[in-house]
Amino acid sequence: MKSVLTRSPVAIAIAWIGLYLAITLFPLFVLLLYGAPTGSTFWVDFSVALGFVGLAMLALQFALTARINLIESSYGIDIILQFHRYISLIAFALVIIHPLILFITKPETLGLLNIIEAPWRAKLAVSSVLALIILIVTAIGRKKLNIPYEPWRIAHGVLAVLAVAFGLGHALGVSNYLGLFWKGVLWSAIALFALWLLVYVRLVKPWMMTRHPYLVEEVIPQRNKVWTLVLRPRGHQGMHFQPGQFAWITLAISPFRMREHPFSMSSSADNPERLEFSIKEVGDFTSTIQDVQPGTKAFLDGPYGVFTIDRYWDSAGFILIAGGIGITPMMSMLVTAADRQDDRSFILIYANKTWEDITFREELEELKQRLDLSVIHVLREPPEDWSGETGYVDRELLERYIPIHRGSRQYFICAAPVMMDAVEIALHELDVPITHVHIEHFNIV
Amino acid sequence: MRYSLMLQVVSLMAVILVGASGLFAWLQNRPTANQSPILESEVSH
Repeated sequence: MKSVLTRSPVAIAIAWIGLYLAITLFPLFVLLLYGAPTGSTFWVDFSVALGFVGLAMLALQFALTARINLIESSYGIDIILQFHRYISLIAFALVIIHPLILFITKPETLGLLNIIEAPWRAKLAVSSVLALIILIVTAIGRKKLNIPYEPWRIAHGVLAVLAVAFGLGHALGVSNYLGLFWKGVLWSAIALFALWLLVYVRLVKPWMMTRHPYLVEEVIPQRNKVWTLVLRPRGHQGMHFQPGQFAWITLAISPFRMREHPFSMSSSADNPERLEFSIKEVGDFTSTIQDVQPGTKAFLDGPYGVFTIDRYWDSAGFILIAGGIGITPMMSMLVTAADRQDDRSFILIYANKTWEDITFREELEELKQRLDLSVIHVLREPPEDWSGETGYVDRELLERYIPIHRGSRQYFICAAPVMMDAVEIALHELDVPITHVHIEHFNIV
Repeated sequence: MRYSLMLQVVSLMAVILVGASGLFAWLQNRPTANQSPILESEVSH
């Protein structure tokens, strides 16, 4: 399975999309086994179908965000989350169009919007749509509305449960197809599935995390407002991971409180008994890392991610392109490769603002002694005597360093979104196969 | 870039889902055998 995932990402994408469509359309298939209810018309059934599909898609959102390893290991959590965002807009559109068709083709149904006099099934539908609207607005506009991440995440989960629960209540309450026994069974099964995922994420996973605690060993200051948090497992062997992967950290509080944050490991994957996370001060939580005391309890959910050189054991070498704190997963890859005496070539193109900003500058110099590693620093504000690369990582710069046989290497990019997009397009223009380019967002949430 | 690819995939999925919903509605409301003019003519014979 793993080799198929690695070698044929297109095939596995088609399989996943096929499965998604099959699950989403399954309720319609069940209804097809029965005839249409008396008095139904094309537009009523079309509206019902859109509502059913939209509701099934909303229920599946729980599966997309439950960090299920089987799903996540195919493409990585950031791709899954982006799919979650896009597909939620489609589901929302279907759910909104569903009543609009009824309002247009059967104007008497407009009376269902009268919340006071409308039957329960209509009240549930309106409540579901309202929850969905708030959900979408707060998700898209979280940063513009200045909503802090942690309360937003809790509210997002609550609103999602309400939207799906009300929607399911509405689907079961509408008498159109309610008489069908299997319809009740089907939607109840979908509801139970979504509920199980919720219980798994909110209770089972945190409980499993409490069984494998860690203690903060030290907090090491790095260049450019970066702090390396060192964790040591307590009473277990630690987390085995592949270099480049990340984990969700809960620090100093119970994992049941769901206040966790994703960070890449920066240490060697061959040393799971000493896990290092290099964290840059950029927000409320990250600015508190420097004050964390040794001995503080920590919990990890992970490892996650497919941004790792371990999936490409037969590659001739690696081109690593990092911007700022995007160096973290690269550092783990390089340290691990050095520990394993990996004899393949590594080229690191590392963009920073100034020479003093370069996190792990000295460590990278040391790694050159242990690896076939070339480090190309790219500075936006170089010192006067600087003879290296300056400006941005663009097509011309990349062309100078990547090998002529583009497909002989795997390319890893971790940087700010703007840089990542620009580099990805530049690599595409340089005929690097898209399946050889791997990206990691360091701000996935 | 891969997000624009994903956007295209998601758009295609939306078209498939809406198309399947339309097909479902058509199948549910298509003329039944008893209403078919050919069958009715056969019955009259």
